[in-house]
Amino acid sequence: MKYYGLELIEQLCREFGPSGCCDPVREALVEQITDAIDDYFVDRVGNVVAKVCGSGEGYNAKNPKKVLVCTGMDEVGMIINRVSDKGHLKFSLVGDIDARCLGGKSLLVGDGNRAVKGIVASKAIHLQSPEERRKLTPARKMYIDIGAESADEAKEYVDVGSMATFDTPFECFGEQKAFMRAKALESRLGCAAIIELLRMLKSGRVKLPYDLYVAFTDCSQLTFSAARVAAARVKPDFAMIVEAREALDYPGVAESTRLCALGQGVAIAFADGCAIYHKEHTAELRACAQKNGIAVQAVCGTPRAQLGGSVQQGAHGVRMVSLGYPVRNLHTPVQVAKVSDYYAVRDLLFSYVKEIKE
Amino acid sequence: MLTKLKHLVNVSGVSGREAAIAAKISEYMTPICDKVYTDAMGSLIAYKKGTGEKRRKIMLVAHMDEIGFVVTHIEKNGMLRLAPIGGIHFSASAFSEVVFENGQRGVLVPETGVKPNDWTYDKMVVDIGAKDARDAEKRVAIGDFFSVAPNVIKLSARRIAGRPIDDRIGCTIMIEIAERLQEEPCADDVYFVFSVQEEVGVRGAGPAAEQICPDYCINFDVTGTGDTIGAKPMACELGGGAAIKVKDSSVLCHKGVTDRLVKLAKEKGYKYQMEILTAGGTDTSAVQKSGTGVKAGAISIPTRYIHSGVEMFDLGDTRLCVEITLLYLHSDKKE
Repeated sequence: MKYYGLELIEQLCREFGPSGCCDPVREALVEQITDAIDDYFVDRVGNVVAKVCGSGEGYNAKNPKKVLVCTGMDEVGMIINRVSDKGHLKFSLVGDIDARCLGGKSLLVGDGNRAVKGIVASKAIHLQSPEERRKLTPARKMYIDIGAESADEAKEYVDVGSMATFDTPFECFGEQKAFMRAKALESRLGCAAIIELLRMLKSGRVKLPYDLYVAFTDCSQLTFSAARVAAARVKPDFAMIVEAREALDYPGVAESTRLCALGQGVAIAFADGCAIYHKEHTAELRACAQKNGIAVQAVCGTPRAQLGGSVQQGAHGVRMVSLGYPVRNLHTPVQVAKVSDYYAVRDLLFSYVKEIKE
Repeated sequence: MLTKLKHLVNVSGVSGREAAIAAKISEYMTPICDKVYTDAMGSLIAYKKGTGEKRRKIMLVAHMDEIGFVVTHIEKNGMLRLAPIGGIHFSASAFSEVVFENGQRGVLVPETGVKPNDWTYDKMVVDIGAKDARDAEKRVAIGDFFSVAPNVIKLSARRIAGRPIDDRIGCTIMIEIAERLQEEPCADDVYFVFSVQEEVGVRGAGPAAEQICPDYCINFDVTGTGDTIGAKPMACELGGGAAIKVKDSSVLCHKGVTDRLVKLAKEKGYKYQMEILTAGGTDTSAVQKSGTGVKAGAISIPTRYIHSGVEMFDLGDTRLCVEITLLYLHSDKKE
């Protein structure tokens, strides 16, 4: 079944895919892209890498130039590290989750093929001492309740090493449903934009003067991002990094420190915590956006990130640009993005790949 | 050597924006090397073919980038907000003149009333003398890189202070070595790599080494000293000779290479000291881990007040770095 636009995002966000446990996401991605690509493979660490062969004017069939568009596909989550006698699951965090957002949240716990519902629980507030109430409860003092009454019962469904993700349905909300909220927007918005890019290239019969590779990569929420492996295999001449950029456009945050804002378009970073993007190509990207009437904004700061640096180092050095989509409440169960920003990223990708002269 | 250093210091090259400094260095290297080119990340690679039959590949590397800042936001009154590029000590860079790539000047100052202990990047602004945001936007843009103004002060016949000594002094040493190899050619192939983006986490030297696949590597960078008041104990001082690296926090140098450097220095009676740096990383680690591993060592320039506007080093130490490296290049035994 093929999905488009917001429905595509909804389907992708629904899939279970904490870092390192992405089978359902991989399957969904492959199903959505098969008609639009020439070839694909899943590499040893689970990245999905697809290829669209070039054929346009200036295409060098013997020694084609290679352009890589890279995004993450995994989401933050938890990993079960102990099952107590009473059937409670103790866990560690996978990815950069603020423990303050965990209490009482619903989860999916399992391994992707089978997941059961659960919730995050901790010592009840009325049992906490005054001192405990003042302090932040760390994740190690919380547990996941899947409604099991003993270790044996719990182990019918999960075991040490099982993973969990938030269980928040995708929903559009706000005036004219201009906003969307869901878990996993941090990576699946990028996946959706790239899927639609591939389809637009196919349906528009666009001939590119280079081989276009797209990589949906695993472990993008961890320090050792698997994108490195994909980049090392593809060895691109140029790379475009599609990833979420934290929008701190909340009340009380000075404009100078909010990084980017929802509704302002593609968030283009000049540098982040692990990569400095190519100056001239970034200027070219901005000019392309302006020419095509696509909204862009600069990421005002150098946010923490892994993806760009992983690609650059994996490729043994490559020029890159960054196309970010602003997301509020990153790494929480209620990530918020704006529909118009999504389309801006998708359209700028489509406009820019046609302009790259590699 | 000092003239050369002055030339290099006066060209800006914040991490990720090294094109100008690369062009300057290639002016020196192009006439005396067989091939000079830049890689995808912008590292400048100068290749000097050896005269021998069976030639090994020796990579010499120094980073040409310097720490700096990037404009992140323009306030309504025309003041600029910034983020650091590399390891900035804000107490060392407050109240300094800064220079943008396009030549625009400004001053880096903390917000009024913020105490020195709280001077972090989000409490600092750059005043470029703009009357409002519109005026500022005519002269700089969000995403522009800038650095504290370059400076070289000759304090005595041997002692120099200024910035960015880290690591233009390493670049100067490499140019000097290349020039000397013109007179006395080396049997092995030598690759001079002027790497990018060292200051943001050794990102450039690894990719360069991946392409070159060297047999041996020597890195030139500054190292800390134990000879300032209040310094942590460290047996390394200005004027104590070239500092042959044993380790820093990113690398354990190849023992064979280190021992060979020491042996050669000892034989000639060149002054040297062993460097054991407990904090800070260098390109040595990135090269060592490239490909299937590279035998890498480093010769460092003892430097006081690193990452400030008055980084201080000794010219005598620097000359010894050149001499010991030349001995190594001409030595048949590399380890």
